[in-house]
Amino acid sequence: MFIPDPTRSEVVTKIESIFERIADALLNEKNEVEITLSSRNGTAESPTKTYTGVVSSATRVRTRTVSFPGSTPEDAWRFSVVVRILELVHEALLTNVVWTKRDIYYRDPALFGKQAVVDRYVDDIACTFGAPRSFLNIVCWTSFLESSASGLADMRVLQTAAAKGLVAGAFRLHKRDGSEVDGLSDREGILIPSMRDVLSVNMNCVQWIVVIEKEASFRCLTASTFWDKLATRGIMITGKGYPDISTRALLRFLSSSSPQNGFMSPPVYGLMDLDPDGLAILSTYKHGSSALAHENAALVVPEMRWLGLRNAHLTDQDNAHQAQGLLSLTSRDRRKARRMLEYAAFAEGGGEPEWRREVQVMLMLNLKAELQLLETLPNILGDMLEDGKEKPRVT
Amino acid sequence: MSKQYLQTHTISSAHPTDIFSLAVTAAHILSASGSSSLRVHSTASAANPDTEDPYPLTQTLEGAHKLGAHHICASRDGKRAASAGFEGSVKVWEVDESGAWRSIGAIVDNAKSGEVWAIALSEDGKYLAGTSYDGRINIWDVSTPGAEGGGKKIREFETKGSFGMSIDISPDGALTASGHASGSIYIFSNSTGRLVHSLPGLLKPVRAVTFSPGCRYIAAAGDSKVVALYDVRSGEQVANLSGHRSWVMSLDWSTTGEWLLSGAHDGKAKVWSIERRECVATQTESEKTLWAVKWLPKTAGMRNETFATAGANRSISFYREASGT
Repeated sequence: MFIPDPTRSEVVTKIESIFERIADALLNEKNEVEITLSSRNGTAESPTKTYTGVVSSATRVRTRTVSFPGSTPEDAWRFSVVVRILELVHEALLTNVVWTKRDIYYRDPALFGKQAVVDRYVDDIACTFGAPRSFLNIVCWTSFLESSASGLADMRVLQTAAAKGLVAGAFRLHKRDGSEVDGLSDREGILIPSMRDVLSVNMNCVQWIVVIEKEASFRCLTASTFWDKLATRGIMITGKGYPDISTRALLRFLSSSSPQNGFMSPPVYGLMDLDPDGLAILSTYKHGSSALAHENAALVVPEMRWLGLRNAHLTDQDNAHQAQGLLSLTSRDRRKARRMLEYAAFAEGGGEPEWRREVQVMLMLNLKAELQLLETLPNILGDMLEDGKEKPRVT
Repeated sequence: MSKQYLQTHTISSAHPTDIFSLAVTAAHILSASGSSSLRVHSTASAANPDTEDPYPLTQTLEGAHKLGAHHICASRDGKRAASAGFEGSVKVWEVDESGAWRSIGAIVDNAKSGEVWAIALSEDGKYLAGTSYDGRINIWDVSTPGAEGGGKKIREFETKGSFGMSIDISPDGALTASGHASGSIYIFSNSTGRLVHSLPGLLKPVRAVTFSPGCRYIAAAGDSKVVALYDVRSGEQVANLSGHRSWVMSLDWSTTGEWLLSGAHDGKAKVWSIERRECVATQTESEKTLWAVKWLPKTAGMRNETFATAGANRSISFYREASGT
């Protein structure tokens, strides 16, 4: 018997009915809510090859349920992961935008923990709906790259859908469709556009670019009087954590001299939390990511400097631990920090001896700190940027 | 009444990056840093005021810890040393008659706790105690090199799970003490394996613990900035030494037990009189963190107390008590 593939709109309907069920369960104060997933046992091939939903003898379909709250924290977490992915898939389908599994991961790395979790549940969800992954609007990154291999040298081809970064400041982007984007038009910043759509930029007044790790810090800065004074002189950009390709591509475009950007190459500074992830994010901007090593050359910002937070910014005043939002490193932080000491840039004799030292000091102090928004930021940024001079510590 | 100390010598750029830990024997001062090599400087000729280079570099233990080393300790008998690296393992070292150090084994804690952090050797170098992230205190028998790698784990003390940041073994070998990120300080009996005391008073990370030479007291300090002094037998706090305005990173007791040395995050080193329970000297070379401070053992020919400090300025500085005080 032939079972037709669900169409994309059917997938949307199915997801919405799951959400309705969850909402019902919550409203009626049920004790538990469940989602049943099917997964293919043992086959690693992409679902596009096995899409009919007809069970063949070669691949067995297992079912299991994820439930909330479940009987362990892991159960609850699994449920959250599935719901989050369903939500993102729903968004992708409604906005008619294509995502990669990597995009999904970077929307919520704190929840997912690692890429493999996303990979596995995306496949399970696709299997459950009896749809190929492409019907969820999720494509495989390598096949996407292969199809644009010839355009690798051209940054503007390197786009990812679902761009999440924000940018604000003294620039005007000229787009292919003739429209213009003014970096000062929205106080909260504008969504980073795909480089595919960008023709050129006018940024003659830009004296510096500051890359901010977190969205919260970005919004806080753009809402401050500090930004009132400096917005006409620079650009702020955030990738909301680990940056996606769009963010990195735009940053590269704004900071590397080319005819399209008016031959500007302003200094680029990074403002991240003082923790292993913050430094790893800085390293992604500056040196590239190991996952996408082959196109790093078009995306790296090798002159980028680490403005803060540094260990030197920590104070040991009496209520320092609370006032600065000082926290202890978690065991995950420590493992990540140790692994980072083996990365090329951080290794002994590698390109960033200061970074290596800061990671070691993080491990010694066992402390991490978040950019406590308005209080520390103006201090770190203000003197430096207003004078146009650098503090000697910046590397 | 205060004491005067003079800086007598500095080994500048002893390491290419922060020096995190020091260990001393009668003949050597060993240093561990963020670089992969440990360094050994001789202290033998320091007593002679005419020596041009009182602390010559006698050995570089290359590649000891690929990711850098954070702790180093020596047995009081001067024959053994141990170093802990950021990669998570501990190397045990032995010195021969010519004064050369070589590695005789390595310890990797494969248990869930993972990395070995702070370490201490017993006086005779037979036992190594180490802390871990989950608060466990492990003791290894390292007396027979080659057997079971670097050593065989003979004890595991479990605590409430807070990161163990500092450790010391009492000179008589009877007790092991640990200081934790939660502010807890525990003293265990090495013979019974039982918890003897849980010491009150410090609420923030305890970065240093040290038994007095006579095992009568234990001093502990850290982010609370005060140095707390406890009676080992009763577990009672007998003094609070205040004066530091910054996190205390390191403590060391002088061989006579009269003085306590402390080093802090703001670069200041302090000498405390145990009898008078107060600070008698403060030395500041720079504002850079002092990760390690150590008294040099008094040897023949050395009339005055000498101590060494090291830290973020990458140098090892030596201070000697000025004569006449």
